[in-house]
Amino acid sequence: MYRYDEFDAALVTQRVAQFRDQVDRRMKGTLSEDEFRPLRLMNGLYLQLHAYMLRVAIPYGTLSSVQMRMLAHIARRYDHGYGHFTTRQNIQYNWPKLVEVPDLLDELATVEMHAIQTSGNCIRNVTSDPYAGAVADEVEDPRIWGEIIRQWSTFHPEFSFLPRKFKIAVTGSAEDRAAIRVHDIGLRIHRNEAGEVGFEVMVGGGQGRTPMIAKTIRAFLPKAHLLSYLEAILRVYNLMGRRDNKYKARIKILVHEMGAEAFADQVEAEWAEIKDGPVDLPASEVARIENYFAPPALDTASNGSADYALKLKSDAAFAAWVGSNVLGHVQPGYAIANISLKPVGGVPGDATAEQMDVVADLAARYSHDEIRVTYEQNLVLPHVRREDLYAVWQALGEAKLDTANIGLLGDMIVCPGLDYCSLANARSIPVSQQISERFSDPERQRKIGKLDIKISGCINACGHHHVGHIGILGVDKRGKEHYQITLGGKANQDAAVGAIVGPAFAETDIADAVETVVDTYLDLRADGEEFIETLGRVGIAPFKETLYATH
Amino acid sequence: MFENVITANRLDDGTVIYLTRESLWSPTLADAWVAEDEDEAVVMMAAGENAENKGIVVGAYLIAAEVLDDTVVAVRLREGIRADGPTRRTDSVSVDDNSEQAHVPLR
Ligand code: SF4
Repeated sequence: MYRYDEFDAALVTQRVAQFRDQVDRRMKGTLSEDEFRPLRLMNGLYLQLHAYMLRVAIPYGTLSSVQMRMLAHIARRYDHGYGHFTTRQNIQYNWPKLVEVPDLLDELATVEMHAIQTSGNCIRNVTSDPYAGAVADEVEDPRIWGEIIRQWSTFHPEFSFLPRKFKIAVTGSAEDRAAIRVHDIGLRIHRNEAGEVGFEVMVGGGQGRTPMIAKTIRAFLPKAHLLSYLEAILRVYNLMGRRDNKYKARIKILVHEMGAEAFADQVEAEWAEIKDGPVDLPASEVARIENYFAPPALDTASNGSADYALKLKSDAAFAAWVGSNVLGHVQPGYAIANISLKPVGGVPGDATAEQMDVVADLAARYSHDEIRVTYEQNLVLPHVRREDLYAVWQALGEAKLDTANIGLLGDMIVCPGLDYCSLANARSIPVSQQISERFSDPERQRKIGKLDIKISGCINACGHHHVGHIGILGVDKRGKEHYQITLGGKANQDAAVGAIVGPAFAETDIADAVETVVDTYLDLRADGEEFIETLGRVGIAPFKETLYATH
Repeated sequence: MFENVITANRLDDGTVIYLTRESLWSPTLADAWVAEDEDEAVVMMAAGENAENKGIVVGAYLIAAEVLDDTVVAVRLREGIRADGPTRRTDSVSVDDNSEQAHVPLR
């Protein structure tokens, strides 16, 4: 894992001291709310429906045990004993007191964490593949470049007041587990025909009220030039992006209006000016950062064990959990263990302080001290010996963290919605709970197979509904919560925006509607077909028909 | 229905609060001063702005509320949730707890 150097540490400590002074002046009345608001937002502190909300950055979704324990401590000491893991691999606390936030940030800084650039029109926390460094299909660990981008973008003076917020995601695998095509910039590390490693650069993806899939503006960018190329993209955007209309200010609108080719030409022209300048890192610096992400010292002799095989045979619940939550690791004998934060009837993405402590202990004992946060709002122990899986599963079970539903219907992405969010039209959490209770039988979920349901409480789409196989969007119809269904969205390498299937459903009918969609699929599916494949083959017409037949 | 109760968040800790007839701020909607007419609402809003200027509250605004069974309830769902807290919450309802709160029907 990356460790702060003295510059990182000094920057963060200085920022906390500044914020302490700003809070003090706000409380004394020498700063008005209008003056203070942008300052608190620069430190990740929002004012939400019920209280202040602090968003803490988790760069590329990687945490150590010590950091996770600190997150638990913060939940207990400064909040209501829990936190909410978000679709940007961050964590949000829903109840911090303004006057205590400087102390909270001081404590966070002791474990090299902060809330800088988790709000505002700047380059936000870089996200990445939660299985980075652990999967076999990876060309290179994307977190190395995630870290390089983090350092470059932190307090970048030229890009602190962009037309709108800016999100970058990096993956090192062909299989996209970071939803890179719905980011302002998506970067995919791959090899070209000559065997060299570089980036496919995609620009202009995003969700919100105008969902768009990113366009590739460069099929292959040599690695060494990443920062100068990003700088060129940001410069074109900073200059040409619209500032007159918030809804047209994201880079996706600029790319769409200019056309990807014309946009790429502008970027190339800008890049030609700066590519051999001082922006790109010397190879020695890249190598220094690479070192931080060296693979952990795995036990190459470990090859599972007879006991593990026996447990798989004798314990059906364990086998079911392994079947859905455990993936192969690049190192034979090891596994990637996913921890679902989606229990039946729970609040998706929430974890209590006690649960965070359990995950921290398990990571320290069994996963080389590493934890990952996924954009699908789950946690991951990325390096677990297969022979330790049973013990891990049992400990997770005691903490109610053993739900076996990764990738299945119950593993829904759900934004906070009207229960917490001041921008919401409708609640998201109760809808997800109705659905998870309706489909609470794990065997039924396994029969249904892979299915992504994603729920947002408003068109801002933090719940990624546009790219859900089944997307659910909360809308307000004459003061009543209603929910619009989209079908066919995908967040992976074949990313697609779902199509609206018809008029919205009342909150009393939405779980029935989802069940109708699922039943229609089960009726129509060919052998071995996943939901999204059946939908691709038959189109949305049969679903429309069954959904609205009685209406 | 005109908007007749003033709400805000307390500056120091963010708590949702309501202006009372005594010109104090209460975290309970039932304590709120309910304006009878637009003129009274204007007076209340001035008190809200005053509290903002003094750094007691932040973001004061008027909401629609009605008196039902001797208590004050918000008209809009959003304000009902602000008054009562999240309808589903990890801090008060454990996942296993089949208490009524865990299964409140959607309103
Ligand atoms: S999608 Fe809307 S309701 Fe949900 S968290 Fe984002 S802004 Fe809030």
